[in-house]
Amino acid sequence: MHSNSQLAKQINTTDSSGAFFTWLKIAWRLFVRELGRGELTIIALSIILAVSSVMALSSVTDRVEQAIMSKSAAFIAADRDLQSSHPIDNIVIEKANELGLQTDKHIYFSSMAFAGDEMNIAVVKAVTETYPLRGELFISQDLVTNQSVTKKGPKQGEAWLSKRLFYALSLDDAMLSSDTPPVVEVGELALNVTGIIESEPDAPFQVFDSGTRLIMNIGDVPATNVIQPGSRIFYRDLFAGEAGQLDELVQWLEPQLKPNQEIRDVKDGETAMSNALQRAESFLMLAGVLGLLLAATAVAVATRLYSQRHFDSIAIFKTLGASVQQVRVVYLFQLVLITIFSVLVGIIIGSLIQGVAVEAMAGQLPKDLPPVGFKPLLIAIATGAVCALMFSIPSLLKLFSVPPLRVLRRNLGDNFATSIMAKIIMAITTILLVLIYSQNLRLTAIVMGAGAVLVAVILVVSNIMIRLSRKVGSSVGGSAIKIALASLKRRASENTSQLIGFTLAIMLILILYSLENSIIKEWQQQLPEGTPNHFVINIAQHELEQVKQEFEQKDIVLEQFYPIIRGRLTTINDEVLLQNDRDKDKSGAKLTDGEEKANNAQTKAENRASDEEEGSESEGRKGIGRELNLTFTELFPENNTLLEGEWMTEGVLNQVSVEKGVAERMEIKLGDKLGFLIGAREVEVNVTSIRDVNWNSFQPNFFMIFSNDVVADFPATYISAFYLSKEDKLWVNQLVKQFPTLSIIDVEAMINEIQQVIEQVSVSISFVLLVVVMAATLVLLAQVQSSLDERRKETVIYRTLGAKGSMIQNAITFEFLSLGAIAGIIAALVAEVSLYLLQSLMFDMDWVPHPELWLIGPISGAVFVALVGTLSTRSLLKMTPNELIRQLS
Amino acid sequence: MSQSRISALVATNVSKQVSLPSAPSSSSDEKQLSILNDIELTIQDGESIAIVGASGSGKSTLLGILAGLDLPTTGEVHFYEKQINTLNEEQRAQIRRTEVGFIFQQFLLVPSLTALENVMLPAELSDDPELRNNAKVKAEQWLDKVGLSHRLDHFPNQLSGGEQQRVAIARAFITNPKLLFADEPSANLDTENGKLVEDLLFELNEKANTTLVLVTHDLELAKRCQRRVLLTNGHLVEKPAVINEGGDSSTSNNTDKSLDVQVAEAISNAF
Ligand SMILES: Nc1ncnc2c1ncn2[C@@H]1O[C@H](COP(=O)(O)OP(=O)(O)OP(=O)(O)O)[C@@H](O)[C@H]1O
Ligand SMILES: [Mg+2]
Repeated sequence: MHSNSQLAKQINTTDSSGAFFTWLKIAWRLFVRELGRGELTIIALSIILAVSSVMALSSVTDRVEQAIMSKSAAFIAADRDLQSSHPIDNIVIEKANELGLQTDKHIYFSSMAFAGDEMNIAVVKAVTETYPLRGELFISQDLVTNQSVTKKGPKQGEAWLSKRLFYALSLDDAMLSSDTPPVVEVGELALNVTGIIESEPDAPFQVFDSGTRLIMNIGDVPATNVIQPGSRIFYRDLFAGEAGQLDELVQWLEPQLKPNQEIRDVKDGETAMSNALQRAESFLMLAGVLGLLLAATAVAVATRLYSQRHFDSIAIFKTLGASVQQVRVVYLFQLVLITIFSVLVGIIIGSLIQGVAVEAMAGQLPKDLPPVGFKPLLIAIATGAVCALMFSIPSLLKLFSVPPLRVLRRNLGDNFATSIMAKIIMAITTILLVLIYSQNLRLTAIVMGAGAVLVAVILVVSNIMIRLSRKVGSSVGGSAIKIALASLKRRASENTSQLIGFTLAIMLILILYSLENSIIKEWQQQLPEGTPNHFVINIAQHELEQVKQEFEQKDIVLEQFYPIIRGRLTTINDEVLLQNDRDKDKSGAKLTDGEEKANNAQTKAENRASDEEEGSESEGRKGIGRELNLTFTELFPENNTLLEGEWMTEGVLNQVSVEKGVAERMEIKLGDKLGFLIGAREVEVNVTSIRDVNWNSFQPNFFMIFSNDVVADFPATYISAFYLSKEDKLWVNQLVKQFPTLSIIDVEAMINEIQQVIEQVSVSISFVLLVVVMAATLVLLAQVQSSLDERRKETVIYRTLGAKGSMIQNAITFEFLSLGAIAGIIAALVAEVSLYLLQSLMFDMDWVPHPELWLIGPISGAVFVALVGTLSTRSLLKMTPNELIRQLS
Repeated sequence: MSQSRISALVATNVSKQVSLPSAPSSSSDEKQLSILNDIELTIQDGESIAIVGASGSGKSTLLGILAGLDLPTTGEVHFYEKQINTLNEEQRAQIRRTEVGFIFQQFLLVPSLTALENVMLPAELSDDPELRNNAKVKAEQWLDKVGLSHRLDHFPNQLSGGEQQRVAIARAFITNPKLLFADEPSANLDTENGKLVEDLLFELNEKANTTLVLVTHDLELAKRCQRRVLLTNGHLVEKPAVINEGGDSSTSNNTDKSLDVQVAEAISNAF
C-alpha cells in the first residue's frame, strides 16, 4: 500500500490522470481482496474453464484433424493431386516447387511384361523417388520371411512387382534378395526386380484389376518406348505441403485446367476411413462449440451472481459521491483484471491438458507434423476475453444502474430483468462465437435453431409452471413440499433463468452422449473383431472347389463367394442409353476407375462425376458409362439393407436387385426392365428390389445383383474375403503360387490404421465429453450459488420461525429435484430436435428416435441438480439463525 | 451554538409520492402513495437537527431527498443556496462527494475492503488531489480518532457492529463534509455500543462544526441535537412541545421516561 501511494504521488503530474490512477488502484485493491475472499471464484472458474477447454479442445481437434488429413492424404499419397488423361505440362511441377511444395509425378499405363519365356500384362505405375509424399509404401525383399520395409519410390533401373505378377512371370523368389535379382522387361527396357509390393498407400482396393501391378521409376519410362500416341495412359502430378501453399497452387491451377484434368483434395477421396473420421471431426468441433457455449453460459450466470452481490457496494460507492464514470472505471478494470487472471490460469491449465492429450496421441500421428502452435492459444485467449466481456455486459449494465438510494431502500434495483439490448448483444456474440469457432454455417444455423426451440419451450414451460404453482399453492399437503412450492413460485422469474442454465447443461450432455454412442457404435459395427483383412479375387470357376478346399484345410473361414461377370447397362424399359465410353479415354489403370471395388466409397465420387456429366449434356438418358462388375446370388449380402421390393423370390426368373444410388441416378424404379450387354449376349431382367449398400464396410459390394438363372452359365471369376492371422501370412504366398491367376489383397494395414485412429478419436471424444460435463457442472454450480443469498434470507426466516432443519433441507431438495426433472424433460425434447437436425444435416447419419433420452434426461437432471443444489446449500442448514443473520449483514 | 446567517439546507414545499406497482391480480391502474406533504425546513450552517418520527413516517425518505440521493416529487431543495433537485445524478454525486457525509443504520461498509480501505474510499474518490494523495494517512488518523487504529486491516465481517459503525463515522468525516446525514446510526446496536457511537458522533461533529441531520425514533438521541422536528403523517411539525421541553441540555432529568412515553403516544396518536 505504501509504495502504491508513493507511486501515485509520483505519477500524479496532472490532476485527472492522478484521479484515474487512483480509481485503477481501487479496482486493483477490490480485485485482490475479492479474489482472496473467494468472491470471484465462480466467475474466474468459468473463464478459466472457457479458456482451458477451448485451448485443449482446439488443440485436440487440431491434432485429430491433422491425423485425419494425413491418413486421408495417404489414400492419394499426397495432399492434392492433379489427374489427367494427357501429359501434364512441366510448369505445374515447377510452379509447385516454386511455392515450396513437395512434388511427385506418376504415369500409369498397361504393358506386357516379360521374364524369360513368361509374359503377363502389367499395370504399370511409374513414380519419382519422392513417392509416396503421404502414407507409407511397404516393399518386401524376402518372400520367405515376408519382412517388409517402408520405402520411397524405386531408383531407375529397378522394378517392384505385386506378388501375383511375380509368380505369373515364374520369377524365382530366392533370387530376390541375391546379388543377381530377377529381371523383368517392360517394353524395350530391362529392369531389376528388387522388391515385392506389399501395400501401396494410394491403391487401396484394386480388388478387380490391380493384381498385376508393377512400380518403376518415371525416369525409365521413355526408354521402354511403350508410350505411343493413342495408348491408354493416365497421368498424375502430386503435391504435399502447407495449406496456404496448396491453396495458392490450386487457385493458380484451376483456371487453366483442361477438360480431362481434375484436382483432388484428400477429402474427395471418400474412403471408409475418411468418412468415419470426418464424422469424428464434426463431432469434436460440435463438442468444442457446445463446451464453449456452456462456458459462456457459466460466465453469464457467474457475472450475474457477481453483480447481485455487488449491488450494495455500488450503491455505497455512489452514495459516497462516485460518478458513474468512476464506478465504470473501477468495475470494468476489475473485470479486466479478473479476465486477465483467469485467462492466464486457463492457459496454464489448458497447456497442461494439451500436453497430456498431444502426448497421448503422439503415437498415432506421423512424426513430421508441425507442433500444435499458437492457433489454439490465440483462439482460447480471444474466447476467454470475448466471453468475459460480452457475457457479463447485461449484468454489469444492471450493476452500474443501481441507484444510490438503495442505501436507504434496501431492495431497490433487486428485480433483475435483463434488457432486450443485452439479450441481443449476447445472442449475436453467441452466434459469432459459434461461427468463428466452427467456421461452419450449417452448424451455426443448427445451433441457432436448437437455441430458438429451447427458448420457446422454456418460456412456455415456465409460464405453465408459474400458473400451476399459483393454483396448487396452498392446497398441497406436506409442509416441506409446501415450502418448496412457495419457493418455486416466489422465484418464478429467477427460476426461468435457472431453468435455462440447467436445461442447457443437461441438453448438451445428452446430445453429445447420444452422438458419441451412435458414432462409436457405427464404427464398431463397421469393423467388428475378425473383420476380413484379405480379399481373394480372380478365382477361376474351375479352381473354385480346389481353392475352397485349401482354405478349409487351413481352417480359414471364407466369407460369401461372389461370381463376377462384366457387363454394361444398355437399356431401361427398352429405351437405349447413351454410352459415353469412359473406359476408352481413361485407362484401365486409373485408380478410381474400378467400380464396385470391394469396400469402396470412391464410387460415390464416381457417382458425382457422372452426375456432373449428365448435367452438361442432356440429350437422352445417359448410361453408367462403363462396364459394371455384376454378380448373381440368391443369398442376401451382409451389410446391405432391403429398401423396396422382395429379395429374389423363388421361381421367378430374370430378377435384378439394384443399389439405391444408381437407382436414383438412373431413375430406375421397381418393376423396370433393364437390358445388359454381357460379352456378346443381351440379357433382359426385371428390377425386383432396391438395396442400400454400406460402402464403408470391408465387403465386396455390387450395384447390380442378378438372380442365379440369368447368367449362371457365363464364365465368371470369384471373389471372397477372409480373416488371416499374422502367423498364416506365409501360407498366402503358397496359395498364390499354386493358383497363379488368383490375387490376394491384404488390407490389414489399412484396417489396423483405421482401428488405431478410431481408438484415438474415441479417446478424444470421451475427453471432450468430460470437459463438457465439467462445464455443465460449473453452470449448475453458478446457477445454484446465485440463489444462495436469497435462500439464506429465507432459511433465517424459517429457522427463526422454528422450522426444523430437516424440513428446510427436504424443501430445498424437493425444489431442486423438481427443477432438475423439468429441466431434464425439456432437455430431452430439445436434444431430440437437435439430434435430428445434427444427424440428418451434419453427420449424414440416419436419425432414429432416442427414447432413452426421455428417461436419462429427467432422472439424471433431477439427481444432478438436486445433488449440486443440496450439497451447496448444506452449509446454510448447519448454521444457527444467529450466524445466518450475521452473514446477511 | 451560534447560528450563522447562511442556510445549509432549505427545503421548500417538498412532497413525495410513489406509485405502487399494481398487484398482478388487480387492475392495471397504479396506486399513488403519498409519503411526504409540503415539507418546509431550513437548517442553518453548523446546526444539528433531529428528525423524529414513528416507523414508516417517511424519515428516511426525507433524508434521502435532503441529501440529494432522491428527488422530491414537487418542491425545491437548496444546498448552500444551490438548488440540487434540478441537478442530474452526476452533479448531485459531485456534491455528495465534496460536501456530504453519511452514516446509516446498516453501517454499509464495502464488504471486500478493510476498515482502512473503507475509510480511504471517499478521499480517493474526491476531486481534490491533496485529499486523494493523503487518503491513507488521513484514514489512519480518523480511524485513530474513532479508536480503531489497531483494526486497520480487518474486514467488516471481522468487526463488531459498533466497530463497523465507528468505521462508518470515520469514513463520513474524512472528506471534511459541510453536511452530515445520519439515519438511525445506533438503532442496530445494543445500548452500550449505541451510546459509544452516539458520543463519538457528537464529539467529532462538535469539533468539526459540521451541520448534522440526524434521523431517529430515539428521543434520548434526538435530545442531543440542538433542534428537533417531528415527522408525522407525512407532515413536519417544528418545535413539537412534547420533545422540546427537554431542551438541548445533555443532562437527563426525571421527566425523561415520561417524556419518552408521551412522544410514543403522540406519535401513535398521529396515526
Ligand atoms: N419507493 C417506494 N415504494 C413504495 N413505498 C415506499 C417507497 N418509498 C417509501 N415507501 C413507503 O413510505 C413509507 C415511509 O418510508 P421510510 O423508509 O421513509 O420510513 P421511515 O420513517 O424511515 O421508517 P423507519 O423508521 O422504519 O426506517 C413506508 O411506508 C414505505 O413503505
Ligand atoms: Mg428509515
